[in-house]
Amino acid sequence: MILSADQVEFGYRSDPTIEDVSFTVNRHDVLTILGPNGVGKTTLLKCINRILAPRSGSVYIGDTDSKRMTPQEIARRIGYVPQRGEISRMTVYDLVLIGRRPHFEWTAGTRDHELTAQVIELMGLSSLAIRYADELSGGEFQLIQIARALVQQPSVILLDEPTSSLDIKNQHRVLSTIRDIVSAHPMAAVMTVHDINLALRYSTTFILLKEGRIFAAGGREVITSENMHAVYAIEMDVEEFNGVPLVIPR
Amino acid sequence: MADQRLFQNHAAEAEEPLRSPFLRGSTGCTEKTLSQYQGYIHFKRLFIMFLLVLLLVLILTAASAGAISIPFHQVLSVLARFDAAGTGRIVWYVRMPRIIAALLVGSGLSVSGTVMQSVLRNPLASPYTLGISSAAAFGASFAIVFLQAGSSTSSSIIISSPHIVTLSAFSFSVLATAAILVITRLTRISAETLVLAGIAIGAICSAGLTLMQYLADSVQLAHIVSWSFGNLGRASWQMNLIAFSVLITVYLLCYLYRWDFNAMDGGEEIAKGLGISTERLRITGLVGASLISAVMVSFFGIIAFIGLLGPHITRRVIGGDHRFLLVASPLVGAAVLLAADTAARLILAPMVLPVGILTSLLGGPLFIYLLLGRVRR
Repeated sequence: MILSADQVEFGYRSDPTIEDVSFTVNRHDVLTILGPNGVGKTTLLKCINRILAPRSGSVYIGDTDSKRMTPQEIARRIGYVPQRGEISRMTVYDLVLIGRRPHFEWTAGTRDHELTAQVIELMGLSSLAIRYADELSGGEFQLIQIARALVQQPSVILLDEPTSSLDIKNQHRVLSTIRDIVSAHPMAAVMTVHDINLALRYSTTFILLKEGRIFAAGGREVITSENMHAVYAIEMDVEEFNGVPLVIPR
Repeated sequence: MADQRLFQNHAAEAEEPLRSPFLRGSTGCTEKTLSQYQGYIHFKRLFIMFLLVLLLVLILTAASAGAISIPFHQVLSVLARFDAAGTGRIVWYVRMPRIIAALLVGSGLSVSGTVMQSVLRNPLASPYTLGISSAAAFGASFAIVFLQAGSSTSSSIIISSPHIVTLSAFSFSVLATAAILVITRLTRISAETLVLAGIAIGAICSAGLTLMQYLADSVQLAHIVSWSFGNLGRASWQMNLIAFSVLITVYLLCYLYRWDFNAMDGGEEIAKGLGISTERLRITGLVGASLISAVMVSFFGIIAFIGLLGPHITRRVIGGDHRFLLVASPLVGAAVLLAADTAARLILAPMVLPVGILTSLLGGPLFIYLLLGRVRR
């Protein structure tokens, strides 16, 4: 277990946006949080790395309650890829290097640069290393964001809609990269994805959120016609295709 | 090194070595990336060297050109010997204070702009476009009229208590900054709307400035009017010393935050995810930036658009990495303002144009270009 949440509750106003959320994440898990718009998926992600401090409940990173960690300590353990990164006039290398910020006090050292170059290679971005990010495509930019989170050497990487603005080829490129890295390293990914079929293909575990609470959680077996209907309020069939469940709205 | 692995396993279980499908059979790539990056860094260093040489040439040109033309070699010898007699007097007491002032104001406003653009996540932000310069000008005029900070001798207008003028200018620019801060925090407004808010703040301050002019007596009025257009002719060694101390203090503080500004450039959530206290960074940055612009405005008046020109020219050439941007953009700002000021002295000689006119002529089109770029996106 490298991450767990215990009865996490958070609200922007008096009534809670998410409540009573508990789950655990193990090494090599790719956990996808599913649910309709506005159900609190992004809020939950932000509670995990305390960008939003939960109103009650705890998030444990390893064995440590995240309440007792400094933001910098959390950043050494959890990488975060928000849905919308702003594109600035920085080179790919410099953008990835920023991910080392939690690990140094004054300035980046040799080790930081080595890791940066390694992760850039790992993500297949070597040929773009000193290109400016504002000259790249959306898919490439998303890979840079993930590289920046990976160079933090996190045990958990959080991704908010990593495929939302990508074409089908890049959707698969990004998600298969995440899956491969998580399966090859002692880490886990927690993400939100709107496309249920994409999620089914690349995730190992799922959380279904309904009205801010966990409706169901587990492996692919929780993706059933009944559960989908309960969460999304439309009729859906779940079929098997090449060994992977396929969700088709009726 | 104890840990040569890419990903640390934080639980005390067996760690897997760095091995992934992507890494197989390719090890030379990281070295290549690093050496490419070194080359890129080298280019940035060269650019900074070029700027230093350019500044040196501009300083010599500015010191030698004017009503009395002094040849380069004479300027050099006068400067080297600290000779303040004869032509040395012109160099040391007339031209150098003005040159130094141009360098300080140019670099100061550039640093201000760089920091504001980063912490507000807004490429259009600068002391001038957000109305902070106007607020400082109002504060300065307020001090002149109500706090008796200005006086005159028979031949020239002097500021008898620059500290009070600066303090008052600073207070009002902090008020304007606070307004900007509140507006950005309460609403999720776009870059363009924030500039509109800045125009509104500027308009309010201009009204206040006009009121001060109305209430002022003739001597005070002369003071205030000379603020309305930026003019480096007032520069003295004492002013320069104060401006320099403020600038260097704030600058060093900002330089400490260079990595955090870089993180901020990716967006506020990314910065937060990297463990950076974005609120503290934003407030520190804005207060520092407004302190610099307050000092510059209260001494030398409103000089428009340098806070946009410096950072944007620099970003185009060497990119937005604040480790280098914070070094190069003040140099660019200083060079632009010194060149503009020298031109302003020479174009209609013996008449000296207020330099603010020239910087607006340069900066206005850049501002429109930036706006157009955002519309296209």
